Amino acid sequence: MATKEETILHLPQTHWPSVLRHHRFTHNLKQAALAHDLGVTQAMISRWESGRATPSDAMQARLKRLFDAATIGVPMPNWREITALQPSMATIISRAGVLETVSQGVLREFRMARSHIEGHHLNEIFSGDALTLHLSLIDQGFFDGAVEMAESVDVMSLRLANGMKRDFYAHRLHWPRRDVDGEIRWASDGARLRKDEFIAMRDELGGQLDVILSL
Amino acid sequence: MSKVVSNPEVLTIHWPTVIRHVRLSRGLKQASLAQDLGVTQTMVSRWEAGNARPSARIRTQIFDMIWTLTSSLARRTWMERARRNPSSVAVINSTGLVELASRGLLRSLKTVRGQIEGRNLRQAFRGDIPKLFGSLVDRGFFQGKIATVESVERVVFTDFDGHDTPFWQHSLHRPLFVANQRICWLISGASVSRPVLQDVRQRLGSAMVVRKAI
Repeated sequence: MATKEETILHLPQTHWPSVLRHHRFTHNLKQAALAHDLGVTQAMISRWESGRATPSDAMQARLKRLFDAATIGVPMPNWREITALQPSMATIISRAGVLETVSQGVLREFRMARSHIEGHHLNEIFSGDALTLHLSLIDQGFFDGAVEMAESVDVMSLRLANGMKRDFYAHRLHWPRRDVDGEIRWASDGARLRKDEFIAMRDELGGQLDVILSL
Repeated sequence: MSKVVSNPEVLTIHWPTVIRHVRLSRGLKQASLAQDLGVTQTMVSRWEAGNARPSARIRTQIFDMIWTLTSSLARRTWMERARRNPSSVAVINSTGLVELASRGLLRSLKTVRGQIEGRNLRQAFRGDIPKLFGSLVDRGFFQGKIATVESVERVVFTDFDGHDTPFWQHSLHRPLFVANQRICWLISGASVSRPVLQDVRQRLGSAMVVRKAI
């Protein structure tokens, strides 16, 4: 009998080596302990994890039940955690221009590791539109609560390690969000655009940036 | 076909979970939450044990409390902004009706707002989306039992002319506590290439990872 997870898939088969290791590591179990839970030998766990053997159908069903039971409850993620998880391009930036939190989508589009972006200043990561946008927002009083929302169509220029840059187009929405320390952060959510979409959006917006001021 | 009709339990808000979830998410003891809501600690304890159901006023307050944990905007303003979002965002209610589609989603679906908003997802989508919805319903998503879900899926959108737009998507699912004590399904996602999809799936260990409410 297929489980609910399986019915969702036209996707590739479950990759048992990573699933098993992930379960063991997150629950701090040794291979022998997991083997004991499942009533198999430690050698068998080792073979599953190395991909030299695949669990039988009956065992797969059993593993899924075990993993399901092991799912513990979590608190509501806060907005930073949610931002970090977003598949789209989302960022949280301070008034000073430090990239405090970036999403999974950013890591993917930028092709960079989280540690190479978070905690770094905008001008270490970008040149061009992203920097001028930051200055424009400061000028408009974004970090002082004067802006309700802004929309931009940018050429994102990433600085690469070899002194080169890589450009792509993005459509982004920006809004102020007051953090627990009382300071306003710059939150953005966006998506990459094709060149024709970029031209059309710039036309529609009447430029790079459209700012809606607070009442 | 509709398990929604045959099993209304999966759509009724499960107040014990919702109240405990918001309380523990804010790191509060029962007494502190009781003080915030102007009731006794015994009352909070009875709600969480399922021995009493909170009044309409309290239910509204709890929904508002959860809303402020997720957004600093009023709900109406949030909705307006979500429609303009360049990334892919949808809000779907517990009957499967698509209440909101963002600009980014319309771009991914290669369609216009009128082709998607107000339609039921069972008509508008084939592929994994209807199955994902069923799976969320079964797991008590619309009862407030889920904190987040992350998934990768095949989206196949069908417009009124029967024209299909398929793509792969990586998405995050959260409950949205909207007005009138309704829980909606908030999907935010990005379309991804097949290699990226395989990477994400390998990391997740399956097509969807569910994190239950505490």
